[in-house]
Amino acid sequence: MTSSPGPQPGEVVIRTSGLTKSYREVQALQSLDLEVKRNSIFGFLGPNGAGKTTTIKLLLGLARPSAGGATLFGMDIAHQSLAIRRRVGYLAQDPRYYDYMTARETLRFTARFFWRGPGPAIERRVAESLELAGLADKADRPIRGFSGGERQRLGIAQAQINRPDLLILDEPAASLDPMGRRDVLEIMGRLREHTTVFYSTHILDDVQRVSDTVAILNQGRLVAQAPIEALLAGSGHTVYLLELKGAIERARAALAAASWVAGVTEEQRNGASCWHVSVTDDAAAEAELLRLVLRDDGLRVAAFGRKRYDLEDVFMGLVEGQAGVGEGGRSGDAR
Amino acid sequence: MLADAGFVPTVALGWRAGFGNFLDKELGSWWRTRRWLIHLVLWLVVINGFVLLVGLGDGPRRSAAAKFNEVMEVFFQVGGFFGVIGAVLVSQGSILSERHSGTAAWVLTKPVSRAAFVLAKVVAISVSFLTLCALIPSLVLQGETWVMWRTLPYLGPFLEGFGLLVLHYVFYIVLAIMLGTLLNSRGAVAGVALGFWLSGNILPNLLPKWVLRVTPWSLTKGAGSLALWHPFPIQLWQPALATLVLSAVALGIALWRFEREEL
Repeated sequence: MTSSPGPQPGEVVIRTSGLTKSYREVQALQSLDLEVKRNSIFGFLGPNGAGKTTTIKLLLGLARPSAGGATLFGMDIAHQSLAIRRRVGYLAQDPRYYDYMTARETLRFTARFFWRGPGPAIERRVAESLELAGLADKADRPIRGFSGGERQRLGIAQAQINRPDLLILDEPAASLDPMGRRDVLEIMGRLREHTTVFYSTHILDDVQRVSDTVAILNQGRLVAQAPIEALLAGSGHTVYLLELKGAIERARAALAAASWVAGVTEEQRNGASCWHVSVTDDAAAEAELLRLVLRDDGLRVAAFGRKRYDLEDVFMGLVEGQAGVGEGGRSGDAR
Repeated sequence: MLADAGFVPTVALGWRAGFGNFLDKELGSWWRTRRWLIHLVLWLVVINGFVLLVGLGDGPRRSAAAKFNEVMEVFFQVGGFFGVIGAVLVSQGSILSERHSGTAAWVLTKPVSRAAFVLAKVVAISVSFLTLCALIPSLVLQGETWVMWRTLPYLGPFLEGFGLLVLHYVFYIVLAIMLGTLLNSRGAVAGVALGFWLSGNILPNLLPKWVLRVTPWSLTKGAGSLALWHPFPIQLWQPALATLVLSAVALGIALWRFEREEL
């Protein structure tokens, strides 16, 4: 078969520039600039009403931008939508299908938008997709009897039936139980081999598990876009966590004198002092920090480690406008 | 999309993109479900049942010819009355329900045109509904008149009347589909479409005669007269042409509006 060429390595699959959408008085999306690279699993985060679904609808031609624009595979969403949609698979937030059809008929119907034939090849592809989504045993049941999770699985099956270069998933795991979520994340991981996955969600755990790049949207504005590791590393100084028992005054004074310590915040927890030590020189801190504290014989160190942010810290910090995400989030793990 | 050995990609562009698949799906919703059977029974009972009742009725003694004429009139009147209601009811939700449920948003993310989505509905509903509510009852009518009086309507005039009836149905199908792209509730769609039809029974008495020439209101009355070679007060080609034009305008509005719909 002749087919449109796949994206080139390093290619930007989605690029939006100043993408804006307003509905009368409401600014649903404000000047969004986004880049999604090939074969990434791109998590598109934001609270409800942040503009995630609006962005997806604009990319797919279901709505028109009020200003700005976007390209998918270098093609303009306003003028080349049909060609774009040949290369995209889409799962809606609350997927709905024709209830009188079976899962197999739905997939056959979807496949026929992409391929005229031959029939046996299409049937094979349908069967593969049913297998992938774990619906083989329910293939010939009418959809009207499907649970929310089964509809979601069918949604993934139909979204990938054309082996798209780009898979756009709107809240793919929102209505699934933990096992269903795990399965969906696994499928996303498998599809990544030949597909770029752009998905919106507010389940931060999922994003942290599978995404390599993240964008955070709030009230229609992009507040962050970065590889997930960069985002989790925090935006400010490195922070070390120390849990100390005993007299802490001398250690506090020693840290205050160290040139590479930017600040120390302190809280009491279960009879111990928990310190968040923000440092300007990570290497110096690694070499010196623990030694400096342990000089005091009367002090015991119950825990020590570099603070690891989780996505919730970053997300909440950005969305709620918390200052100094890198200098003490809401929670952290000591290594 | 990865190259898949053996697959033949769809090639249709412009308004035709996805039309064949949509049409197959729409026809399937009539003919691969029990919907066709329900409609068939309904229209046979309503239209041909009425015809049978009139044909076999114990009214005043009349000649077979008079009863035959009465049956023919009843066929077009009953068909014109209940058929229009049926046409509006089967069309009112065809686009609206898909806009509301999200299935329209789903299928329109595939490589298809919005025009194909709308046109497939118009064609499938027209073909299916006309087959079940007009064509088959017409064929059964032939059987009924043959069994009762060993006679058949003259084919030419009957086909002309049948043509007007079909045009009448098509107009209301397209009207309801157009309203489904403009309004947001089934009640409003049915209300406006049926309100327009019902006003055709009242307004012509209040408005100048020429109004009948530019609306579909006189079509079903004229269809019965035409089939029986009876004179009709106006030239029927005028409302027929006007209905054709109005149907085309309604279809144009539906396509234009749905192209701009944000889903």
